[in-house]
Amino acid sequence: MKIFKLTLFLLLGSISLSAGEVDTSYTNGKFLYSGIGSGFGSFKDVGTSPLTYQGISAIVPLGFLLDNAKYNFELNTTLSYLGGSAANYYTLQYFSGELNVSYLRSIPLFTTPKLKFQTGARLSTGVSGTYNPSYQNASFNIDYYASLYAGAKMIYLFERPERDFKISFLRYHLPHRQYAVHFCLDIPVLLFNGRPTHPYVIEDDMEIFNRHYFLGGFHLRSNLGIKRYLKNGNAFEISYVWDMLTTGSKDLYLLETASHNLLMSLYFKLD
Amino acid sequence: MKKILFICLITTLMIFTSCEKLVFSPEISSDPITTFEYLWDKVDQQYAYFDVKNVDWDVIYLEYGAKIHTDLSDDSLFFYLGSMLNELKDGHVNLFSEFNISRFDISKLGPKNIDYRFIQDNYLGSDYYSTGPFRHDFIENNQVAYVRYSSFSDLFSDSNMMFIFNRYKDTDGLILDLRQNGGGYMMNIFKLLSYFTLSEDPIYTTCIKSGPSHDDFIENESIYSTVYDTVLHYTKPVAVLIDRGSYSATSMFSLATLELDNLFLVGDTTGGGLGMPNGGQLPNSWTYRFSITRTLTPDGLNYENGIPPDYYAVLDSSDMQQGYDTVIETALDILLNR
Repeated sequence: MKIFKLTLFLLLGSISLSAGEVDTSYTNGKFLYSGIGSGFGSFKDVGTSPLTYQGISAIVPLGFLLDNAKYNFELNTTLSYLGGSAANYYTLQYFSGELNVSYLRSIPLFTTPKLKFQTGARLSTGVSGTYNPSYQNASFNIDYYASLYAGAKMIYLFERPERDFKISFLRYHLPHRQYAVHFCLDIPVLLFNGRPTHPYVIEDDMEIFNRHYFLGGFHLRSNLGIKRYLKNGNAFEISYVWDMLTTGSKDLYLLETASHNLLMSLYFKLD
Repeated sequence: MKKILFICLITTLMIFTSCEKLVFSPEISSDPITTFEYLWDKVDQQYAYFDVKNVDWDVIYLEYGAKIHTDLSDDSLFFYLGSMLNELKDGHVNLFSEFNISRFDISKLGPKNIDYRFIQDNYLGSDYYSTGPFRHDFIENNQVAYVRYSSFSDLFSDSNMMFIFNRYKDTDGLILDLRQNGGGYMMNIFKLLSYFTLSEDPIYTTCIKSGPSHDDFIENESIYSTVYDTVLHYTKPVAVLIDRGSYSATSMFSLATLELDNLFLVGDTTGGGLGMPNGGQLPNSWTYRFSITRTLTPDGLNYENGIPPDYYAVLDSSDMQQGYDTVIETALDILLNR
């Protein structure tokens, strides 16, 4: 896994050095966006339980996007939730709040008039909380994490021309539509964690900063979606968002989370 | 050509994302042997009182491990795991399943030292006061106040205490009956104690496990009594009645009284339970809890096996036949003749 990450990072890094100007169209501009998504996810924290909790997940992103011919800059905050169960009667609530910032440069070497490719970096920092009453004095926990990624994004632009057609005696009119299909992959470079110490409990005086801080594990994310641009420059997007995190062998315990969400977002053009 | 290769790379990445199961650790087996070893290991790494309990946990592994096999029924497995935990003789150690809860009944280490019906019939009568969680009234010709607090899980307010202390401000002493009080919220310890003291004094030290070895603890942290200027205080002598059923938070309250001059303990040794229990789950979905902190006096004494009273007294049947609660009478004798 380390060799794979290093190879991919070097490949993307060397490509990003040759960044330059590319031809873009209706995707350019500044946008404010917000969305809501839901799906399913899983959670396992070996410090309290060897069981995997599975259940519904939800995400709410709110952010700013600046996309032009040279680069893509994004700043957003994302709230996530997972309500899981294990063994049919134990329940767990998992909440997290993240701040993400990314900067991707367009790569003309792999860009055509319809295909745009961007690489760069993304930084994410967040706090997550877990509540499970069956753990008694370990019912509540807080974790901290910060991730550095090598980001890659591929965007395919296409348009549906305006046309009229007839089926039997019914006439149909399809207006002109502009779309962008994207696939975005955040490849983990570094993951900084603040996890519980031995023996995994927050005492009554709420020593929430008494954590085990370490570098280890990885946080991997992908986003596959389609965006439809409106005449006024705004856009509507449906995307599949996958997020997984594992704290790895350096953790005193092990935390593994994953979520698969279908996200619907609205983009409001500012310029 | 480069573009084709790169598109192939991206396509491959797309195929292999969303497959966290390729990366995540495998699920642990829930068979009896794995469950036994998981529980034994957790206790071995996190339990805080091996030295006080005089238990060789490695010997326990050999003894109970020999009884566990893959075909064991849930009922039998629960029996063996529960029995293994009961070797620690700790009321804060339990195993929970959907059909049973294992427990070590600390109160049976000594006689039952309270009969509340007897107290109502012979001391309180039927017109006693019920203020918040406290049952109280004058006794001994209005010379002493009797206050019964049956659980530290019961919340109380400043107005509750203000009424009680105002009512008994002219008494020569107060009996605070904590017999068979199994514990509850830690915050109620400090709150109740704050009404009986005018200074912030160190009342005990606590330390939590810091690693997997039996001796791995962080440095002791001193815990102080709290003082509130805005509440009424009772600074006359207070007899705190205890017995083997006085456990957990009640034991910690009793431990704190050792550092205060106006409070003294009457009755039988408490049940102990000075460690904070922590919980978790087993591979077969049962849950457990056991103590992960150690509480000591400011001088470093460990009373996990119970705080001894300043004045020993247990119920005597011949006294009861004459209408006397031996423990209350001992407390009255000390309060009125001090």
